[in-house]
Amino acid sequence: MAWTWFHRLGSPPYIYGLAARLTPWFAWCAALTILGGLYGGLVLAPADYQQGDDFRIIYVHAPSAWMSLMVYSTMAISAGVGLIWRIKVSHAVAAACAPIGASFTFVALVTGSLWGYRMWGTYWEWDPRLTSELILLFLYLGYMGLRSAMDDPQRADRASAVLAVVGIVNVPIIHYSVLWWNSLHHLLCSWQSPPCPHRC
Amino acid sequence: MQLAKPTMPASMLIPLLMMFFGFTVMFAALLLVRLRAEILSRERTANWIREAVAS
Repeated sequence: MAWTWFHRLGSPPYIYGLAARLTPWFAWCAALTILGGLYGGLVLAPADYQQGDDFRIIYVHAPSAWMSLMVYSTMAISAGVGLIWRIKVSHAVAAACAPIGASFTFVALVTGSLWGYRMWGTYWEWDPRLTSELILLFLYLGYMGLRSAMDDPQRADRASAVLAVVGIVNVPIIHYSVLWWNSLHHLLCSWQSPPCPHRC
Repeated sequence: MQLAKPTMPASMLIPLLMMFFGFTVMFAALLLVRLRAEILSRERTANWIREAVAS
């Protein structure tokens, strides 16, 4: 085992085999943890003293919203690594992230909208957190659209990677939006009970 | 990000942390599956693909 072991991480056949071997471990671990978490959250946890059972949507909403940012960061970092060191596998990782991240973002927006309707009486508000999360969805869709619009894979990799890297400025904006702007979201959150996720 | 006040009872918080962990691992599993599909379509002309698919 030499220090060059990590060179294999840039080799498509090695990564293909490694991914095949690791997938079932991650899949089972995820399935068991999510089933346990849903049982704990939807069945065992007590109803909230102010929100009743409404707060339970947090068990899907908050992890989805968190993952929308995590996946984008993963995508932007691997796209950046692909740009700088011209590693094909790195671009493949970034391309694989986009539809997953877009799905998490979509779930976060829909569950947040439903929760908002119950708590604030409106499905949608042009609040900084909601707006920046919607922009995140458009970044994912733009990234995917840009890739599929280019026939030459190398050009598609590089052009979409630039978009992914530039778009990462949106991640801290989403994260700190409830602090930077004293929004409706924030004010309404402030009287809510602990399960409200947005900096109560 | 302050996700919940420390006053959130453990019976609510522990399932939430499990969901965070579970979603993260689910992302890893989905990423590995999609990465294999992505590599297959990129390397469809390579020799090692024929061997990998045959095995």
